[in-house]
Amino acid sequence: MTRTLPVARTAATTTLEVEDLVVEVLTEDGWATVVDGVSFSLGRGETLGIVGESGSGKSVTCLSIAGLMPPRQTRVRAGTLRLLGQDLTALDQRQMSDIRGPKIAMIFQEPMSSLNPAFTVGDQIAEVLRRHEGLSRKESKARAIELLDRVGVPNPARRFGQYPFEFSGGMRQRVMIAIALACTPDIIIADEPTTALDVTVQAQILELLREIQREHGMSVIFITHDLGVVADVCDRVLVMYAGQIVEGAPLDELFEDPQHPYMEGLLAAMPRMDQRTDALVSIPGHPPQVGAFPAGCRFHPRCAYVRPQCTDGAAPPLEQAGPTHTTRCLRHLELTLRGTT
Amino acid sequence: MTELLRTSGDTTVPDTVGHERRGGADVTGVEPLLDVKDLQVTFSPRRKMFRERVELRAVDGVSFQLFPGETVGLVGESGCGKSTTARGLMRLVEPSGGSVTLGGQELLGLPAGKMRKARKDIQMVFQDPYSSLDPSMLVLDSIAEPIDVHLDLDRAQTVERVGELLQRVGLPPEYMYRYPHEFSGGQRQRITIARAIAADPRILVLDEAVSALDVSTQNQVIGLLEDLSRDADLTYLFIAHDLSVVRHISDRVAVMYLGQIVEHGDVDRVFDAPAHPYTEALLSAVPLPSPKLQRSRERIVLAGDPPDPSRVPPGCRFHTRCKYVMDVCRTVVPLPTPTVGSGEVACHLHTSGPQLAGRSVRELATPHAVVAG
Repeated sequence: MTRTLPVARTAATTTLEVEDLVVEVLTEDGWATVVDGVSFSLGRGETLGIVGESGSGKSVTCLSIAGLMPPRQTRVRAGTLRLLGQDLTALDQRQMSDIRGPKIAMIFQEPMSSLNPAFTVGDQIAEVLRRHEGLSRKESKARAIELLDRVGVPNPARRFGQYPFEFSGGMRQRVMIAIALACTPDIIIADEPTTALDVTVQAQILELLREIQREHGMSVIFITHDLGVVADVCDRVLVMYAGQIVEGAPLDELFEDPQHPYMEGLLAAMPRMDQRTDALVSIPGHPPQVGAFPAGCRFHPRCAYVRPQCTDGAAPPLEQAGPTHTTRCLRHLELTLRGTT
Repeated sequence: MTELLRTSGDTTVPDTVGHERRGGADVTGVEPLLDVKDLQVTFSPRRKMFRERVELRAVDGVSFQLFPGETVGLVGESGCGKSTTARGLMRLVEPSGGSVTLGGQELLGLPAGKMRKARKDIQMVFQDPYSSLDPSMLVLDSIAEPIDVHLDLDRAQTVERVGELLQRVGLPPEYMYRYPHEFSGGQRQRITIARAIAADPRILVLDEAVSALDVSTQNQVIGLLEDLSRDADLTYLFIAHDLSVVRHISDRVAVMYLGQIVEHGDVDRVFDAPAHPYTEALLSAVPLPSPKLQRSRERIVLAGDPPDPSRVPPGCRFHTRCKYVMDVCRTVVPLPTPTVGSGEVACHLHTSGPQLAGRSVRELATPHAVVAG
């Protein structure tokens, strides 16, 4: 497998460096690669978006960074993960759980299944504070109420003693953010945090995340399939397809001047709320199944610009298409792809 | 809100939006296929165990019409009553008041046997294709069920028809001998659409029918729905929370808030010149997939969650979250008035709000006016 070029750094200080990450899962036919040579760095205070269809490996990449992939069915085959200089792959489960909370926190799509229905919301925030910050019961309660207040939960003192089912979807997601924020982590990984929410609530949650990031200067990895959300919150974006990064660029450059046909297809497929579109374009076919990635460029069976050289051999390398722009398309120099304005 | 959703011809102001109807018939002078008047659906849950029941009007006086061949989008946040409206008019939940006329026949109060016959003309597709197909039934038997109920066909004819239906939704006929678990989400949704059109209905009620699908699959299913509406002259009530999809597929759109329609009109008019502050806020909350445009837009962030539907605010239901709220909004219920372009809006700004050159200043607002990059 060819070594991939790391995406150029845009921030002066690097919080996280991922190099050549390979993750495998156990399927009926043995081990299959789901993340294949992913490399990127995350700057301090930066919001990095990861986009792609379901099954592209975007969630697995992030779960692996947080050490949350189930150990017996998955394994990190290769690669290094450096968080503020510390190699995460060398850590055992117990050491990783000391990292999660103070260093890395996660927010998931479905706040109902990430909260424990049998404990009050307050207990679940206070527990994090007692475990990682060594606060007493009383201190942790006071701090938890402060946090609930900070994330915009009305009546925080009363809400502290309530159970998750007594909260609306948006309020539960605020609670999840309060838990993630409890130990002021260096990185927040947000995996489709607003996908299950109404647009008006989504706007509130995105605004809240932005404010918190400004206050604490933390880095955010934002996984989503909604290019509108990406345009709203991200500084830089990685596009994943079939376990690989196929394109990476600063936000505006990626949208205005995509260098990979997959990204062009994703942009064209988005129905626009502000425009009348006559026919919706869709990328033909489906993303490949894990364990059955095509030879050559993995996107070639669905690509409108396919040439014989795209269809066999190893996957094309990630090439520089500009100082801070990378693409895995063999034809990027000859193609002029259409972006949005 | 009786005359709600009647379009064209009933406003004196010229149509400034310049709309064209896609695939739909000219509605002027045409009888509506489905006429919903003042629909009420009431639930009475207990707020706490052993306490008195409270009355919750999930749908509180909704009126609209579906004309042959058109697609009407119904939008609003979760809990606004859009799905309950659909279930109410199908009588999957029993409405507590109002009237639903399908091709001239009143559906509310029909005895069960006659209601079953009437459902031949109006079928429903749900959001989750995983739970709307019986996992223990062959695709053939799932699709054959409405045929057995509504059409008088023998087994061989039924099998032939199921094969044709599968082809029409873009699947090979031999898939009828498979079980639902063998299919992807997009394929399952095609199967539920095949089942919905099996007995040649005139109306499909699509309740978040494409919401659970990836964008590529979603676009393919939308394309299928557009083809079917053109070829089979189907009429759609398209319920969705994704406003981009609604804009694409609908001819007209109605916006619901807390059990009522607050605004309706031709899709371009509602999206380009929303008349109700709630519609404006809803549209401004949808992030656009264009970084420059997104940065330049004015964002209206609504505070908090929608109010509890069992404790509806007095006056205008939206006044607790409205940035233009006036004194009159807190006490007087706004009535629907015609808007410039098409449709109606229920908002005091248009009748009691500030005026400029004889027109409500609200007409000047355009929330996502294009700022050239």
